Amino acid sequence: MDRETKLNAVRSKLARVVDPELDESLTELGFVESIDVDANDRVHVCLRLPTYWCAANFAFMMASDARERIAELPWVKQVLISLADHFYSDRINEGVAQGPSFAAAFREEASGELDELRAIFKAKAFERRQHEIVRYLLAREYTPEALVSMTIRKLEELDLADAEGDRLRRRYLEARWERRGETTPQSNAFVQVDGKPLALSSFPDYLARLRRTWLNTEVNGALCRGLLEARYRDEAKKP
Amino acid sequence: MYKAPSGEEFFIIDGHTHLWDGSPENQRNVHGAQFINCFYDYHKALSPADYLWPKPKFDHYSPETMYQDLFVDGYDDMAVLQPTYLTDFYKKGFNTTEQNSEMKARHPERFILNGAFDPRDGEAGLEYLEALASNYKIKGVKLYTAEWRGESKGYKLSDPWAQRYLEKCEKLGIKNIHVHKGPTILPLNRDAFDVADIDDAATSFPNLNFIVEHVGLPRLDDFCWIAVQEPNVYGGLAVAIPFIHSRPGYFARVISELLFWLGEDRLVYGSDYAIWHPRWIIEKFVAFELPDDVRKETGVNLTMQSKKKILGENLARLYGIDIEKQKALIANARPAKAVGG
Repeated sequence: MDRETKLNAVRSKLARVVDPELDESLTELGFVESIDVDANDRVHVCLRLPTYWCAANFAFMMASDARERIAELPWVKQVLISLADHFYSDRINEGVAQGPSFAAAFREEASGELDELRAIFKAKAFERRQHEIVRYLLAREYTPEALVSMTIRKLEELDLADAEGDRLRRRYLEARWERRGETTPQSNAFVQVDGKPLALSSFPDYLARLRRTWLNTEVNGALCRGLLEARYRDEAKKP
Repeated sequence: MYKAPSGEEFFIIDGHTHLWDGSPENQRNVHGAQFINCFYDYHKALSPADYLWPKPKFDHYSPETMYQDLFVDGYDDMAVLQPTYLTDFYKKGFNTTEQNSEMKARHPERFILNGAFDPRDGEAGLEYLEALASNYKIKGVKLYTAEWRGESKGYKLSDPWAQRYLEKCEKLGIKNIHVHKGPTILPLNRDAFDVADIDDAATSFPNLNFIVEHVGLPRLDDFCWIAVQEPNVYGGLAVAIPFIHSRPGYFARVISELLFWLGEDRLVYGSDYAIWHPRWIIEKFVAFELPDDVRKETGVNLTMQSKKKILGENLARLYGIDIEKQKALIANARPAKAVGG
């Protein structure tokens, strides 16, 4: 395997790691500053974030998820993640390298694990993805009645004429299958985040709630991209 | 006073301004340097190119510059001075009530001077709050619930000591509690942007107004949800409003969502000067119209009346300002050379 192949393999692993708050991948967000594979098959990844103050809990999650994903590659001997220009760079880098839990890395500041926080943002990501596909379908003459009773299989089989619809459907279904409870192809495609079915009578209110979640994530993403660009603007101009 | 091309006039109260010193001489440590750098990135990310400042000017600007930007080049009629102490990062503090009071002393008719408290200061802090109230007659405070302080990871407005401070505010006639919900430096395992404590405090203190700065960004969704249930919760538009230039599509969505959940009586303008300049923000905001698809989807509109309320009338109500009387005070205070043109 040549070096370029290895670098690409690492890149595609990183493309699967998401910022939990923004529900977008580190590569899409521009958070990956550099990737290197040395002669001993050790992978070096440098991450950078929009601000020095980005919440350390999310930074830690991304760095440790990146490490875990890359370590899945069979040829990788060691993964070295470093986070640049951050208030807690040293602590996060050290914590991730040793592979301990968040609580151990931040023993004074944190009182528990990050699972609960992860679950909150997974739920928001579910609602945002659902909003995107629902809006797409409503704009294409699918009625609320049809959506409320649509099964997962039916959604999978819909003939969506363009790539965008296909992408939104894929992203939503991925989140849909991850939801707790018994899910089969015959289950409702569109359910509330806690698994409860949607009621036609409250559909407009429900949509308004989804819209709120969707917009928040979109605006955060735009702000983060703008700040990252402003922060490293001068650097990008260097030859 | 801003006069729109249509002839419509707006009395403008800027709910969020600072006179800060982020200069290298005042920085206590690397965090002080990074703090002002981060502000500068916000400035660069969302300002029009014509309004970009060189970094040294941004680090530390004079009271004269501030007056010129807000009231001469900009269209503000009045401005609220919001303090940001950050004494762990800056030797003299970044932007204390005492620093800001210089502007108030120079131009009393132009400024509303706010104070600050931190419930972790205990009894001594309560005394300081009393001193602020008697020295400066403050009507509002700015709080940073996520501020790092020694071993502490921040606090919540629902904490017992915070409740004591809010009771004290009520007694002292400090009615407006501006709460910063935004970027933090703490590696908490919980969500540091959580706005749930606002809900609790707003219910416990129905006579106080809670102005959530930056409309809870980056938790706009949760903020809208608690605000809809609490009539004494307001949204401060600082940081959200400059999107009008670089991302007008998102701004349209954000403002329409806020109008949908909170309504035009509970939103207040703030430039966050010196991060952003009030001239371009006002020009663009007054000219702004919601696109048809957004109007249709949310069922709200941003009318001339909404704009007047957001730009001045709502804050005038919160701070007990009689706009007509204030116009006269401002006109009389104008230096002679300005009157002569």
